[in-house]
Amino acid sequence: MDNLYQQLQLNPQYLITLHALVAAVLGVAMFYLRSPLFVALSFLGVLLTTAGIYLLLNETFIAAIQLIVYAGAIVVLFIFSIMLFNLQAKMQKQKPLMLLLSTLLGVVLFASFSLALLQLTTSQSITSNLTITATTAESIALYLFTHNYLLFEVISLVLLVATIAAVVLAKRYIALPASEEQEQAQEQKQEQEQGENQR
Amino acid sequence: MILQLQLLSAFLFCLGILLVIFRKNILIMLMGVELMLNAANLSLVAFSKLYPENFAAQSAVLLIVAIAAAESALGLAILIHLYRNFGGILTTKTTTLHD
Amino acid sequence: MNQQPILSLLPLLVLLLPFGGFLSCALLRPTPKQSGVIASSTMGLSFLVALLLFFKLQQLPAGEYIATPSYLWLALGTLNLKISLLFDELSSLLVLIVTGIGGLIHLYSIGYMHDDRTPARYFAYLNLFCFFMLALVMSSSLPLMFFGWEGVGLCSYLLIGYWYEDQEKALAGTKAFIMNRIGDLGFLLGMFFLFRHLGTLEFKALTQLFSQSLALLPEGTLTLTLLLLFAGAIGKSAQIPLATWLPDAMSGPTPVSALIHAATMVTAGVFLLARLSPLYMQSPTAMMTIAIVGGVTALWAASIALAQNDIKKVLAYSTVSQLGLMFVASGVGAFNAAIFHLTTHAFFKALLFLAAGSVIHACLGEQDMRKMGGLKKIIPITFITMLIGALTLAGIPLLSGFFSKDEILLAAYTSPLSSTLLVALIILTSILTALYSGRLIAMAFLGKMRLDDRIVSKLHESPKIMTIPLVTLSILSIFGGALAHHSAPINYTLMIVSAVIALVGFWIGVKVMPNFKLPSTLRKTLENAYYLDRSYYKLMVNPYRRLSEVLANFLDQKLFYDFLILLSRLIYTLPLGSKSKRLFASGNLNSYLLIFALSFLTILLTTFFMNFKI
Repeated sequence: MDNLYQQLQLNPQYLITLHALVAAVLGVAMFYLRSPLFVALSFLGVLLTTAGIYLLLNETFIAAIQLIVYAGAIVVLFIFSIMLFNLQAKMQKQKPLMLLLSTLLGVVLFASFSLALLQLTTSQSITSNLTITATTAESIALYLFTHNYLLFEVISLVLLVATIAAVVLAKRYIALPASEEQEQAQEQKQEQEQGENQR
Repeated sequence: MILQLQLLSAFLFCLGILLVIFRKNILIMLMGVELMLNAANLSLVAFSKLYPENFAAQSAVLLIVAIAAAESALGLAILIHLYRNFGGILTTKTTTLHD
Repeated sequence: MNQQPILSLLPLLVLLLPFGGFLSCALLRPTPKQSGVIASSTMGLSFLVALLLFFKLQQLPAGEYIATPSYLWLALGTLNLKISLLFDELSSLLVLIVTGIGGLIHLYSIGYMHDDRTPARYFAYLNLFCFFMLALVMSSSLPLMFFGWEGVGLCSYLLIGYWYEDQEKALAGTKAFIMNRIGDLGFLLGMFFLFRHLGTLEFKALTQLFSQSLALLPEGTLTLTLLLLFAGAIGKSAQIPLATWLPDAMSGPTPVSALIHAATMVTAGVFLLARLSPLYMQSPTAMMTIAIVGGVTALWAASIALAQNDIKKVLAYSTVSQLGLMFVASGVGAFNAAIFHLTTHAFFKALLFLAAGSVIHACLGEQDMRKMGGLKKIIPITFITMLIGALTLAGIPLLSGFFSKDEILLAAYTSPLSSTLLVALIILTSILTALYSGRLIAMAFLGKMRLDDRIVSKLHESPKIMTIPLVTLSILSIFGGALAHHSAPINYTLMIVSAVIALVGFWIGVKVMPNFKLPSTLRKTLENAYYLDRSYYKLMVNPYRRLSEVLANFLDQKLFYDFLILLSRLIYTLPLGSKSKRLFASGNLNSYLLIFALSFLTILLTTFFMNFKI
């Protein structure tokens, strides 16, 4: 099965490395950029390069999902909220000490993760080159609906609950029941009237 | 090849953690969570290449993507709530936990 | 079963008519009058269909039965739950009782509940109850029966606590529900055991299995299984040790007591034993347990009924006692006698409850018999019908109760499974039964009027819609004995003994009992039902409450909460500047997350350096 990259006659191994490097750089940028909009855009970049990696690994279906759900839906949602909250005006500068501390912690974290990975490399297969086989949507579906059907149902329930919860949460005035609101409004009116009387 | 991809996944995961811990903007913290989920997905797919006949990883990725979508929708709903109650979405404002 | 397809679908119609009544009462918001008419007419129609089926069943050759096509309800691995509705000799009788007496009680309820605020809710519950009860008696397998079993429990709970504004009544409903759960656990476990060992839960298949070979199960396993199922019957039929909920259940409306807590639901335990009779016959130990539990309960409850003053409580304890007799009959292997007594008991106990309801209705809600008396002339129809009910209960010759009770006595006397103890228990119970039924009539209807003048001025006979069911039921009580089919030769000595007991006992009950003073210790013991309920509170309920109080106040509040406070204080005593202290409890999300991540990192690194393989 020829994909885009094979048609361009490029070696997928190098291309994957290239994509990985770009993703890493964009990830770092996510952390150091101050504007939420730029952070969201670099996040988009990371997602796109990851989708590219999936494509290079011949995981066409996963790549498509990645593009549609992550890059398409979620990032757009984030950018919309940035617009809604009008965050550009409220940016704050990071303190240099905090920056240093955070970089240090990041290095330590990454080092420990890498250590863990390198322990696994005792098994030969992880370092050897891959024969990249294609995965079709059909085979994933078969697996999903024979081995994981319960999980699938649970996820559908989770999505439903999340939808309802999001609607309930985002409703206006959730903290105050209607009657309390009316009472408050009445109180305010009375106060206003009293104020007018005093005048 | 898989090692490189695993290292990238670990790298992105660490960045996600850093974003969640050190950024003061809750919206960006949410992006950090998404980044972590994405890194986990990458790791799963890369490992699945060791077992060409097994599609557990791919189906797990599918489910994780669904969870991620639900999570971001809920997160943003909570964010709207925070914005109304605290007048902003910076963690410097939401400090009622220490009372 | 090669039958016409329409005939085999009729049981479904019997089942679904009450359900339709429930739906329309619950959803269509009928007016009070409409709801009563809907509920009664669906029950009436259901009864007619059942009658038709009954006559069709009589035409079939013996051993044949009507069944709906079976439906695969659930298929999981080796578990294939097939359900269908059975209309055979056993269930046909029960279906007729449920629909017939149920219909009469619905009719009666229209009069009884005429000034209730939410009659639609009442009739919806009542119809739903009939639906579940029909599912219970017509089910072809244990799981479907369990469905009905739980459903009638639910409806019983809803109807006992029908006037839920009254805390005591709501609590009585809860009590009934919880006591039943204890028994139902046994039912469930028994069902699991049966499935584990035999692989089927269908009655016909089970019967066939047990008629073919004798040693299907080890004796111990079979006995355990059957006793677990019997635990379910104990709970539902209010036998010792789970008997205390039924007297409390009298706080529901009186027609409910008549239908659910006398005629139908509480007899479900007896029905269960009869359904599984081929299994029970294989285990003498289980049979003996059943007979002894039933006998002891019968005597226990009959003696208590002698000292109660609430008219409904007397009837409640009497019901427990009569159910005990049915269990004795089952326990000695006379399942036919048990079902026969179940039938006549359904007639006369429903009659007694409805008549008592009529009395209470006339006396504007007064239930204490010490305050009644002299009602004979004022409410004559109620008096005559209640007298017939009481005479039947006492076992006066030629009334239906006499025949059924006699059959139980005969079975206990002749059966190889029986013993002298059981016969003695039955005879003692009969004596006490005659005594308290006489006392009931004398205290409520004879003697001087003891009511307030305020009530006397308003005394009136109940409307026709209430007296018609009473009269119908009295006719059934008188002639219900005709349903008997004797399998054993009649023993005239026993018959004469029980007739003499009933006549003399009833006479003494009327003449002596109302003014008879029991020794005060005995009277108190009886009034408090041998302190059984109170000892449950002392042994189970109160210790449990105290334990939860300890857990809530001491463990949770003192230990855990104070521990947390202590921890936070500890941090404040650390030799740090105020700024760094605030890192721990600043309320800032980032600092909490940082601590979380650092802890995680520590764990990760420790695992590595301690050389654990992940």
